[in-house]
Amino acid sequence: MTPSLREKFLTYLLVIIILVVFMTPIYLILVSSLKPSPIMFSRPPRFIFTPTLQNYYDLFTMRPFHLQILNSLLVALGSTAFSLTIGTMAAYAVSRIKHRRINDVAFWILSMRMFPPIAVVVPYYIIFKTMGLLDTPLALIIVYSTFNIPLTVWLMKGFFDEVPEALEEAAQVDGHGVIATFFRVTLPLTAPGLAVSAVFCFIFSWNEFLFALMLTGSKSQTVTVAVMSFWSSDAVQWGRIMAGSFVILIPGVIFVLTCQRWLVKGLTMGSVKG
Amino acid sequence: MSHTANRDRRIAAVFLIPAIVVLFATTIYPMLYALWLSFRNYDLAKPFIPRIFVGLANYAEVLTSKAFFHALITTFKLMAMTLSAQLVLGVGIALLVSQKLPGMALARTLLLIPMMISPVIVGLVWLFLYFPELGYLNYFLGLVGIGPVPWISSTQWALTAIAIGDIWQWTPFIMMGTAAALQSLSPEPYEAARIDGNSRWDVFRYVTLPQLKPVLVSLLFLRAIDAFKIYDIIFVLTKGGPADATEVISLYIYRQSFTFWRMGVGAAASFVSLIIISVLITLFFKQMQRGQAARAR
Amino acid sequence: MMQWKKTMWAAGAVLAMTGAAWAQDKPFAGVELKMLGIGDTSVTRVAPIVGEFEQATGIKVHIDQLPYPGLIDKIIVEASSDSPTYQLLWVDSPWVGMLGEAGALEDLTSRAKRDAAEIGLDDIIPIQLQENTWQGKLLAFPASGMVWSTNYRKDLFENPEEAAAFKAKYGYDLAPAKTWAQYRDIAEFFTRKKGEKLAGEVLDKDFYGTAQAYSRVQGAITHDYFPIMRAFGGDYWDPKTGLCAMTGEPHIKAAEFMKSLIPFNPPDYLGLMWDLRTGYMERGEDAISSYWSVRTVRLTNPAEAKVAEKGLVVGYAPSPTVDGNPQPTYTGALSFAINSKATDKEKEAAWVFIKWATSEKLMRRFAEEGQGVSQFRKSILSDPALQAKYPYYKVLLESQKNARRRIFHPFYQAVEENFGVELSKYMAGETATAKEALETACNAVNSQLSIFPVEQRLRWINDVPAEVLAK
Repeated sequence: MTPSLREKFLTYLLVIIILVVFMTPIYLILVSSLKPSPIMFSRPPRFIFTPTLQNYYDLFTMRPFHLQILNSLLVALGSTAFSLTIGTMAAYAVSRIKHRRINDVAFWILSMRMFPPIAVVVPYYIIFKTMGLLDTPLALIIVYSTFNIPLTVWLMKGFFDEVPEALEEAAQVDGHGVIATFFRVTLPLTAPGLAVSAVFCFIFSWNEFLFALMLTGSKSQTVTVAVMSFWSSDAVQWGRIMAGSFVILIPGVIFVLTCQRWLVKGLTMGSVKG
Repeated sequence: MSHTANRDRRIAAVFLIPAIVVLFATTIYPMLYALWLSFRNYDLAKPFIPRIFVGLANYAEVLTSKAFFHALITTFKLMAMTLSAQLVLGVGIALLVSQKLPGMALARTLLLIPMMISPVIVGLVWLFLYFPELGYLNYFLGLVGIGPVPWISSTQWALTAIAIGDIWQWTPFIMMGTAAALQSLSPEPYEAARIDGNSRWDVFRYVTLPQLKPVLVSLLFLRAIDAFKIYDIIFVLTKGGPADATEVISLYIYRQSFTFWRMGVGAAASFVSLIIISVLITLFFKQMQRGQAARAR
Repeated sequence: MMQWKKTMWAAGAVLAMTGAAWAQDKPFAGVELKMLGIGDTSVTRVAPIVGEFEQATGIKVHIDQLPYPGLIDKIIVEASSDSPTYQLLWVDSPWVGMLGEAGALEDLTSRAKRDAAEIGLDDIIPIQLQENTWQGKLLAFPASGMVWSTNYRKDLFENPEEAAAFKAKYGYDLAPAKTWAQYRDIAEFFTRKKGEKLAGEVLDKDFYGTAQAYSRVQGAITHDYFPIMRAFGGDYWDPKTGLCAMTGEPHIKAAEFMKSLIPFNPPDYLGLMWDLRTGYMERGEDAISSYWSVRTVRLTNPAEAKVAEKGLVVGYAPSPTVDGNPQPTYTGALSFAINSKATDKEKEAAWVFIKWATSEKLMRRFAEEGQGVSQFRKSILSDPALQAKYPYYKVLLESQKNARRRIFHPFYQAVEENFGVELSKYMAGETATAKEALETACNAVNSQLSIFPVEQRLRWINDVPAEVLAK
């Protein structure tokens, strides 16, 4: 049944309203990042003004923002690669093992995500201090992986459940071992799942604030801490915060625009079989 | 049988052991340390206070504390608000943008952006929007004659304001999952339902929704785990205020552990909250398994 | 000829001396220091020019600028570990008691005494040094002074129409408030709705009498409450028991007074804190407001405050009292300190940095370059040329002659947080009476304090005069 003209019109109207509502905050980040500070809070808000790149310039001159971006990239990519490797393998095991206790193992892995992060900040600080890892990207990679591995296991399990075991058995009959079968037959079939897991791991690591604040110093400070640091004791420097925020949301937007199809497919396949 | 067991063992050895070792190695020390703290009077900022063993006193304090229960209730209130709104809006928007019309794919894509944003930044942006007089939100509402609403500066509104920020960020998550599930639904039941002359709502209610249920349950489950730990957005927006209107579990733990530096009480509260969420999730799983079993029959 | 020769000789001597100084003045060449800092004016003015310091001394300083929310958390965690990552720490003066009692900060007393002439110890306003002491020991050095003072719209106060109307209504002359009662009258008088007239002009938006902080975030409401409470004659602690005493009549009256100001505040008063509330003065949207002088510095800078751009005039006055008689001014300090766990060489190098970063030369340079820093040196605050440029210098200088420091107790954070929450609940109408709110907050603080022996509690509330100031 094709929708009538009136229905089409209503649909578009609603979608446009929804888009406006959901996109306005992002638009405001951009607009505010280009605003000079004295008119930041003028009433009524000003949408037409001479834009300035001063806030962006300040980011890179008042803070080593380019280095902080590199730190964030290193941490996010490192944790993603590590979590994906370990997590995918575990997900495969959880999906294939028939033993009835496997659900308990799966639950234990998932429970890693449930503990309030605040409670383990200080223990992690102490452990990294002792190991000399404080203010290194490795410290954050380790911590983020404890959150990313469970997520990867959760997402990937659904994908492995979808791959018929008959395929694997056929490969094994052909003389491939368990490991070879996994890499040659099973893994390629779950590519969308890998993509969605990678994106979520990356975004989580890139966006995290609490651990990044406590475990980093000048050498490894990440972008979220850098942006929040414009919240000082006498003022919240909105222009610079908005400029930094805009830079931070760029990777997320890139992922959405490029991997949207995979993201959607990946997430539902993973969750349908929950 | 033994063949399966053998295979299980091989898979476990190669695939599962690394994850268990890694997770165990990276979390066992912090967890044990937190557990040790929870039995101690441990003030990180005041080393002159004896850091003595206090038995279950910290747990007793948490469990008898009005503030803790207030935080627990606030957390559940917030979860109820955000999860229900995200469910309704997410499914509704998914139904809209899943129609086969030009431009809808782009709309679906754009709507995913909020969930990619750092929660701290979501907090900052909404703080910026919420300023009662200077914020954009009240300005826009004023244009249509509403307000001004004292979003984060009133005890009546603050929790709603936090919820709105969270709903804005995570409705896309539900929308994305639902939209994908809608695309994979088989068309036959629809044809049948339509031939029978059912209303649109009935088709949705009796045909679409039952098919979506497993996806929705699973999406909500993921959201619930995170919603229980909600922290960054409140840390930025209200830090638990005004008064104690938005003080959730994480904020309670934060205040005990950091502002008051009573690490023991904070750790005890963490374990209590871990137990609560674990029990809830176990119950949830049991319910789901029972549901699946019922359907299988 | 003789003259020429003399000049040459002098130049040669100077060259020789600087040469010698060159060799001697770089005993710390190669030392690297890290500072746990923040992004406010006490740091941001210095941060871009640390290269100059490295050139002069060979000491490399990295300043990490962290968000204020979370900074103290990080300092405490840092201080609790034995091998420091940071040798230099930025501290807000109310933290000094907590950090001091924990032994986290290096005692600077002997160094300050040794270098008294070089740092111009006599030139620093005494209370600013006192702010940084714990049990008489100087634990931090002021980088930015803070005074709680009142800003008001001078142009409105001098408007004849308004002045006459005010006199007719209240029976006395419109002038900067000397008492909190006058402050309330002024706030009430200037609270106008959109469409009403202000100084002869019809308002296109609401105008507020005042904008005070009622938000509990970062304890903002307590910063506003404590000066009022002290003016009403209330004290923090019971001098006999060393326990929280903020439940008395003056305390209750002060809280009730603060609540009575709500109708003259913007509607978002419960969310007002820091720059949100000072923003009203900076945009010329309220008539009178008291705050820390670290924000006052913005009012003369058109790049930071719209009021300066609009040509509206802001006046500066000491914070009001209750009976109009002078009362000790409420002060604070934003300061630099040395981590007590740094190595000896690092500590000495860090002290060289502190001396440079807070020197009269540098502070004067900031003032002359037009950058506002809330100054703490008498020579700068009393400089007539600078006073003309920064009219608030006079108030800063005068009001600190009679000053009493801010709360400095090791349990300061517990006080700030508990009172922040309870006062904010009372202002929001969730707690029925001020008495109940204050008692709840005090009980929470006392439950943590009561385990300590009385002598210890009494020692904590006792402000021992700074040893560096002893002659």
